[in-house]
Amino acid sequence: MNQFRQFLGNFVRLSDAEFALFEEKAFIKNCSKNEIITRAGEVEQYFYFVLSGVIHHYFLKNKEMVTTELVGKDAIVGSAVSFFTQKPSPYFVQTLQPSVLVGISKTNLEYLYANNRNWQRVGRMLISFFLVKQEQQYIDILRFPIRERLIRFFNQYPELINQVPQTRVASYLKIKPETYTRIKHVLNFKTELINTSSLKE
Amino acid sequence: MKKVNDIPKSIITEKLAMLLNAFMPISEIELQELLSYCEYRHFDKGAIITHEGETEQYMNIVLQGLVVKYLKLEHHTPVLQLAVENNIVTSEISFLMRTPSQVFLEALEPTLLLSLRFDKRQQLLNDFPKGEVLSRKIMEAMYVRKDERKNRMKKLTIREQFLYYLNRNPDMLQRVPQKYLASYLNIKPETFSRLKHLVAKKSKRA
Repeated sequence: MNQFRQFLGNFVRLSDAEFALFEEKAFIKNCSKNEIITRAGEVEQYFYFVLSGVIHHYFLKNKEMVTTELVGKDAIVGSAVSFFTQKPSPYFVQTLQPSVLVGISKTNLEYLYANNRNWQRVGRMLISFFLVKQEQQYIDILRFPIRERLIRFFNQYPELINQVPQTRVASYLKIKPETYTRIKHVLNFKTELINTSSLKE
Repeated sequence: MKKVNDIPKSIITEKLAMLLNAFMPISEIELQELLSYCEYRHFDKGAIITHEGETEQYMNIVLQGLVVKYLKLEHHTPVLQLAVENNIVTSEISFLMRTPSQVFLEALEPTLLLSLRFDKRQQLLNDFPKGEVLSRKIMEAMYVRKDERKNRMKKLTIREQFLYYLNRNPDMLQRVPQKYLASYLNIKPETFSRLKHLVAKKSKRA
């Protein structure tokens, strides 16, 4: 739980009592490898913070698995769109490695937002963080050639290199598998790390 | 097209009430209070609203007109968003992180924006009780729209994406230069010209 509190510390400083409000409502979820957390078509009721492990979002396109999100520890996962709209999730949420998550239900999160002003701020800062990440991901795909996309991704998530099947990374970064095989040697180089973790108030 | 200054304020208020009520109930008095934090900004056709490199100061709702958001790269200018009436548009990373904007915002038509400046937004978040929740819900909606678009881009064929967009926004063929539309839909210009017939035929039949 401390790990999650530290992550939130990037956005808002919460008192012990305020964080205790969360702890009362949250739960720990231990997942095995390849476990499906949310199915496409289900309405997402939970938000999860990744303490450890690897998670991806995917949907099936003519039986082919297309990965739209791929994250490791200290990320927030769950079918965000479905969680916000309470419409069926367009994609699956699945672990790629054994993972430990902190989860909270929509009802409980709404309770926190309704009863505590700092938690309301957390809610706003989290969605700001999501928006920034989403937009940056999109800009990067437009701006950077495939090689650089690959380097940037592994700079951001160095621990994922050996934990994620190549096909998943290739699908996520919109790189053809054969291209991936050809260029993966670039990962031996280090480039400057991009940091998008601090939102300004 | 009507000039942007011609819209009566009452219509603006009404439209805005509808837009915000989709997120949470807002009373007439609250709406007036909200408006007191905002400003109206007019732009001529072709005017740059936000430059790459400057820090975005505003979050905007398009009241009238059309705004394009694009990246200026060495060999091309990919379009990220075409914002029409009632859409929210801003260089959001720059606005939220206070970093130089990576994108341009440009008016493709004479445009009227209802804009909330960054410092006013901070005041609003502190002083207006529903500010926090409203702000969160608006950003959630922005996120959902973009995520839906991202999924469509991964899920649909080029032809399906083209039809999906133009069936919902049939006026855009007239309003937006073809190169922008093609770029927004991630379609090569020559493919775009070919696909245009699909829409033309359809509208004749209907």
